[in-house]
Amino acid sequence: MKKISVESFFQQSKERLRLSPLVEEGMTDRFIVTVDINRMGMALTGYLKWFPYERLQILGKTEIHYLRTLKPAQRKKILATLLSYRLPCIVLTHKMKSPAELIAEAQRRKIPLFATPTPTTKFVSEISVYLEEEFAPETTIHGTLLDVYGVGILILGDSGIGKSECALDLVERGHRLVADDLVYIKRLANRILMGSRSEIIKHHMEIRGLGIINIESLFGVGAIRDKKRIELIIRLEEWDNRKEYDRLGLTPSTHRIFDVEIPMFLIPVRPGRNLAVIIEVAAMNHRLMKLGYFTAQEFADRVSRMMAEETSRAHSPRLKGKK
Amino acid sequence: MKMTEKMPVINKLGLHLRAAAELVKTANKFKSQIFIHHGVQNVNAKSLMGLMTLAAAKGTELEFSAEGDDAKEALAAIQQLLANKFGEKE
Repeated sequence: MKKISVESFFQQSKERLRLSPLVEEGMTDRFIVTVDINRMGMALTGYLKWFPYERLQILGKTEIHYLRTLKPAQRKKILATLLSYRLPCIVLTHKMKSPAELIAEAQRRKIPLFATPTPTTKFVSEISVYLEEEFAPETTIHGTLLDVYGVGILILGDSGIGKSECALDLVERGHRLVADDLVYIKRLANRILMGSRSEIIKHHMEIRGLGIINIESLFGVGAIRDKKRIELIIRLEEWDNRKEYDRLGLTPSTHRIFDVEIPMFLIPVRPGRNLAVIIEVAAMNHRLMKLGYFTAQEFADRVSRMMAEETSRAHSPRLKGKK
Repeated sequence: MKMTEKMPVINKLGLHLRAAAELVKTANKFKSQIFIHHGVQNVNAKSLMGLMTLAAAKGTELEFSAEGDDAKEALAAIQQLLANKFGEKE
């Protein structure tokens, strides 16, 4: 199971979540293991039968005000009990001042303690977004990801079919490269598949015959992107004469990644076929569809409508008489 | 036919750029689909960039899987290449 050290959580999100450390000890050997969080409220009152201590713990306005009503000895006792559990870390929200007993106990137990000015509810929703993303299921896929006219297009196909060359062609036409050869895919909430690149490869590409090139230094920052939602898949395949390719586009096929179905076009490759243009058009067509314009269906309807008009005209007695 | 075999990287520099290029060249001689599993990663042995993300240092055990008519020959050739330290001295 995935776990994130409190240290890396803090480094990644201190600005985004406006965290400042009150106790820094124990950051490297404590881990966040779940996307869930826990408000310590009930546990503070002594109800420990159900205390999800493994979650990131939150002390908000309610909790701190409650703690203030306790006598110092009582406060010390309950905090000592709670902090004896293996907590990952504690966040004090809503500009709350930490009781001295809490800081002392956290220092003694080496439990990281952070403070944030963000109100509790807002903080909970912000940190949930971060944790959802960190704990999202991840996979890698052999392919190339580009942003073409704002549409995230994943190009799949066997090695040597020309994915990289095709990507280069698209970059040259002003589109943006996200990842070549190996695409990291995260399944986020709301069935979003987010594709990104490897930190090692970055925006390098291998072009057979040329070797390794760097898209960022060749084409500039305008030609690259760090991540992009995958919306469309283009599968390149060697042209097979025995195979029937889609001629109408009325029933687009799909490709499943995790539990998300992504529309896919199977494009046969043949010398002289300009793949970059085909992919550009696929992207534009996808945008048209999102705007509610389904070209293939409209065309089919148009043909049917004209046929119906033709038939009714043929059967209309008035027109017959004129002939 | 699908075959799987674990092989260690034994040369001093590990799977560096030139070594990876040799591996890609060897893998591309075969029709089979060849993949390398390492930890959570699963990369295509015929793609150089994918291999680089493995960052496999000396001593790393890589799991190769080949699927196709020449899977057996492909794995044998790869095994030979790794055993020969990609033609490097150490």
